[in-house]
Parts: sequence; structure tokens; C-alpha cells
Amino acid sequence: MKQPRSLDLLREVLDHEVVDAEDVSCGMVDDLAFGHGQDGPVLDALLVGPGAWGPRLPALLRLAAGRLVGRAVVRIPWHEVIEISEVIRLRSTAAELGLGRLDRKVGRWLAKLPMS
Amino acid sequence: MAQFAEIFLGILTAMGGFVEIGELTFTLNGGTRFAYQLLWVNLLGTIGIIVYCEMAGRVAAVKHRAVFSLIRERAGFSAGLLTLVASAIVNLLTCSAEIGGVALLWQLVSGAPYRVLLLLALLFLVLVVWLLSFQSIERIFGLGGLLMIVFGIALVHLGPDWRALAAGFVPRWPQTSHPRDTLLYFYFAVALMSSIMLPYETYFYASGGIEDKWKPSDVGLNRLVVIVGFTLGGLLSVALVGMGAEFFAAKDVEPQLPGTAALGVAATLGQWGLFAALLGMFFAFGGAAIETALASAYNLAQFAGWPWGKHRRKRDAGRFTLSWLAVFVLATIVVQTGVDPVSVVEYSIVFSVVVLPFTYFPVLMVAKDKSIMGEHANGWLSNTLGWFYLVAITLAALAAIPLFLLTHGGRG
Amino acid sequence: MPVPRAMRAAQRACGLLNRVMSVRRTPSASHRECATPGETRKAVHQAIGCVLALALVGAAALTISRRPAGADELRLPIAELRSQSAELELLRAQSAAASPRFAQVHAQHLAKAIDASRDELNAMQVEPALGEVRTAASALASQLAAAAHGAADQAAPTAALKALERSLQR
Repeated sequence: MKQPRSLDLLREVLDHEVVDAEDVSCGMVDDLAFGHGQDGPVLDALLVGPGAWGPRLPALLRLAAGRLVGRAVVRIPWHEVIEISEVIRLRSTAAELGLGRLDRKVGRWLAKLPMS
Repeated sequence: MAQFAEIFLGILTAMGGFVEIGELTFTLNGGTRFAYQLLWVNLLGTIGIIVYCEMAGRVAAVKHRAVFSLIRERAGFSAGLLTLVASAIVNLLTCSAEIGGVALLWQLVSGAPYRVLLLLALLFLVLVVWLLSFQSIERIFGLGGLLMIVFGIALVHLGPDWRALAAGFVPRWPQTSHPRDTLLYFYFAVALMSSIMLPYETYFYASGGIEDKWKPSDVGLNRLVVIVGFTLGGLLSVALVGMGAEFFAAKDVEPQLPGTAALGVAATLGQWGLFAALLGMFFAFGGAAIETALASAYNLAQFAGWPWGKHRRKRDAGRFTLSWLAVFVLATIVVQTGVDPVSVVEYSIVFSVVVLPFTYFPVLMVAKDKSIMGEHANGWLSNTLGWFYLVAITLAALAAIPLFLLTHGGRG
Repeated sequence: MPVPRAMRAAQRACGLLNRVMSVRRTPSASHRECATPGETRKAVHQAIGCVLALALVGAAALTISRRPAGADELRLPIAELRSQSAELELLRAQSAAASPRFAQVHAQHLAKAIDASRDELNAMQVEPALGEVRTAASALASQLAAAAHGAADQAAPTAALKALERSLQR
């Protein structure tokens, strides 16, 4: 992975597009997960999914969103990230990481229609 | 030749902003009530949309980033979500009005029942977007929309007061007979500016640049496309103001129906003018319906990070495809309830002005950032105009709703 | 992977993402399937706040709409009827320039719009001083509606509506 000397997580990672190894969009960085390292908090993973952006909403909308779209979260380990530029580029494909499941499901349904 | 054809992206985008059903009747009314006194707003708005679409198109060409992912990155999740919801509502209402407008036009030609024609319009639009490539859509509806030039021909035929027309481009305090009419003038100014600079034009245009696979070498083409496309749109808008001032004002008619607009052309040019106007309006309204449905799907997909684009197979952009289908269906349901399509979109234009600053601020921030755009970052002119228009639309956003309430919803 | 310089950025992120720092020792902890009692209580308070705000706005709108209409409000449907009357005259005059089907269907659209304006006028509660004006306007609106619905011998009362509109503009 290309290593920046310093990283502004809010400006350069959070709410940025995530792109997989096949250059396909597979979500946005909805939240960040920290663990404990020797010198303090350590960035563990990127979180993608309604369970990650839900807590960023006011309580009422959070509850409604939870009922409508669920609270699933996909955790992308930090070591999967190979590039941070305008997009967050990953080492693996979306399918390998469990991202974009609904798109693939909808795609299989649409594939039954002509000229899809 | 292929590069020349890119011009149609600009024309199609402009049609959706300048001559969709609400804007058509609103501009005609502006001319009827205030003659040429609002033309400076047409000019101001046209330059504004050129400035911002050029920036958004440039970012799309250089960085392959579309507007809504920039909004989320720069404005944050909450502001981005608010902008997404607000623009989704505006897009839905506008799409419903355009579908209603297409059905009204078909009814004027065929006499068939309106509700049946609404369903046929839905089927037609879904098939067009499903079957045709993005490039084919922009060329067919862009070219067809150019038939609206018949309004310009009708205006010339009427022999307008060219001096008064030219004077209208210079901003001045309105000459009205009552303070209430002065308030109404400013309402029209704000709403006209807002409708010319509708956010969905920028969303659609920038996403269209990515659909057309623009590269950094297309930055010059982008500039040409916005200038030609939106100038044509602006000229059509001027022609509509002129028709209002020269024809409808003399007859004491304030047009509220698309048929009224066509009647004005028929009275001036005869039956061939009538059919050209009806056909031009069909492509303009249909193009606007497609533009708003696709803009909604682009916005949602870009905000959520889904794969998107007509350039992908539908099965490879599943949620994006479902999104534009859902917008068409929901829009048809809205207009099937019997709401007046013209009123619907006029109200949504006023509320959309509140969304404008949230849309244009991130575009300006990215386009001027040399660390992102390199040699393609804004020059002094784009920066100056960008900041000027950001302030102008923010002031318009603050004034829009009070003016709407004080003028009884823009009725007087 | 340690990101030492990101500490400062992480501390700023903590200010915004409070729950992340405090709850996310095991990342799944904050992504429970059910809402906590605290979340539910907050949601209920926000829902009550929204309902109250909507009720206030609704009450204000209802109060304003129930006020008797003054000259300014009464003028609006009369101005619309005047415009529609003028358009009916225009349509009749230009029926040769338009196709028969266009003229017929557009007349139907216009009739529907006239009916809507007339209904708005008739439903208005006006100030007592404007009662006569409203009665006169309603009569003209009925005449216009009859003309629009196919009574070819019925003249469109444009001039009379314009005179009424002018009387309210003072």
C-alpha cells in the first residue's frame, strides 16, 4: 500500500467512495472502527452499510432507517486498503469482502429481462 | 463528428432546465406580466448555469467524479443526505409534471383519455431509457428539442420592440403600477433564476460527461458544450419571454397550459407552427422527464457508492437501474392523482432554490482546488464568477420562501 | 497498522464520532440489531417535537386560510378567470389556425381550468364589504364556464371580469 506521511481521516477517508480491485464502486466509507494499539487508538477497519451510517442520524431517523433498511455493516480491514486518493481502492473484489450483495442480487433478477 | 455530437448533451441538459413544462409557462407569464423587464435574470441565470456546469463537467472529465459524491465528501453525511432528499423530491415532482405534460400533448393531438396516455407515456419513457444508449438519448431528444426554435421564429414574425428587448438585459428597478406587483416581480426574478439554475441540470450534465467517457483532453469540449447548449437554451427562454410580451400580453392571457403556448405559435405561424411547437415541446418535456429520473438515480447511487451509469449493463448496476425505474413509476402515480402538473413543478422550483447552495458549494471547492485539479483548476474568471453566483443563489435561497408567501404562491 | 500522526485526526474524529471511540472497542458492539432504551427515548422525544412543529404550522395555515379574504385574495381567482376568458376568445378566433382536434381538446383543458377557478371563487369566504363583488364574479364565472363547455352562442365575459379585477386593484 502507498503510505501517506499523515492522513486526515475526516477529509481523506470518511465519506469517500470505496472501489474494489475490479474498479467497481462498492460503497462509501460510512464510519471508522478503532482498536487499541500500544501508543493509543489504532484504525482497525472501514465500516460500510446502514449499521455504520445509521448512528450518524438523529435518533428518530436512525430508528426509522434501521427498520427500513436494516443495520447490516461490512467491516473492511485496514490492510485491504491499497490506495487513498479521490477514492479508497481495495485489494480484493466486492464479492470477496461481502460488499454489493444487494446489487448482485438485483442484477441476477434484472438479467432475466431482455437487453439487460 | 463524434465531438460535435457531444453538443447534444449540453442541449438536452438545457432543454430540461429552460423549457420543461413549468419553466415554459412560467417564462411566458413573466413576459406577459412584465414585458422584457426580466430578461436580465435570463442572462444572469444562463451565465450562472454555464459557469457551474462547466466546473462540474471539468471535474467529471479530469477526475471522473460526479457531483453527488463530491457533495457527500465536502459537505458531509448529514448535509449531503439533506441535499439528496430535497433534490429527490424536486426531481420526482418535476418528472411527474413532465410525464403529465407529455400526456397532455398527446391528448391535444389524439383526443385519447388523459389517464390512459399517462400510462403510455410511462411505458414510452421506460422503453426509451431501457433500450437506447445514453448517447442516442441525448442526440434524439437534444435534436428534437431544437424544434422549440419555432417560438423564436414566431417572435420574429410578430415584429417585436427590439429596443425594449435589448433594454431588458440591463437590470433596473421594475416599472409597476402597485407595490404588490413589485413584490411579484422579485418573486418572478428569484424563481426564474432558480429554475434556470436547477440542480438536476448540473447532476445530469456531470454524470453525462462520465457516461460519455470524457477525459482531461475533453476539457475544451466541455467548455464548448456548455456555452453552445445553454446559450441555445437561454435564447429559447428569451423567445418565450418575447411571446409573452408581444402576443399574450396584448390578448390579456396569462398562459397556464402547454396548449396555450402552442396556440400562440399557431396564431402567428399557422398549422405548421402549431405542429412544430407541439413536437418541440414533446421532446423538451420528454427529455426533462428522462433527465430528472436519471439525475435522481445518479444522485442516489453516487451518494451511496453504488455502481451506476447507462454505460454499464443494467445487471451490473442493479440498484441504479431500479432507482430510475422507481422514479418513473412514482412520478406517474403522483400525476395520476390528478394534481395540476404545472403548479406542482412551479412550487418545487421555489423550494429547490434552498438546495442550490449545497449543490454548488462542493463543486466550486473541488474545481478551484489545485491539489486535486492540477493545471485544470479554476482560473481567476471561473473563481470570481463561481463565488459571485454562490452568493447570489444563497441570497435567492433566503428570499424565495418569504416572497412565495407574500405573493400568494406567486399568483399576485 | 499503526497510524501515529493520524492520532490528531482521530481525536478530531472522536468529537464527531463519539460513539465510535467510546463504544467501538469491539466494533460490532455499536451495531446491535435492536435500538437501546436511550435511543428509543430520544426518538420518541424527536417524534413529539416533529408532531408539535407540524401541528403549529398546520394551525397557523388553517387560521390564515379561515380568515375572510380581502380584496387582494379575491382578485386572484377573478384575474385567473379573466385570463381564461380571454384565452377562450383567442381559441375561438384562432380555430382555423389550429387543427379541429387540438381546438376541441384544448377547449376541454380550458374548461377544466375555468371550473377549478370558479370553484375556488365560490368556496371563498370574503369580507362583508366584498360580498357584492364576489356575487357578481360568481355569476360571470358561471357564464364563462357555460361558454367553455360548448355553448357557442354564450359570449366570454372578459371585459366584465377585467372591470371587476380593476375595481379590486385600488
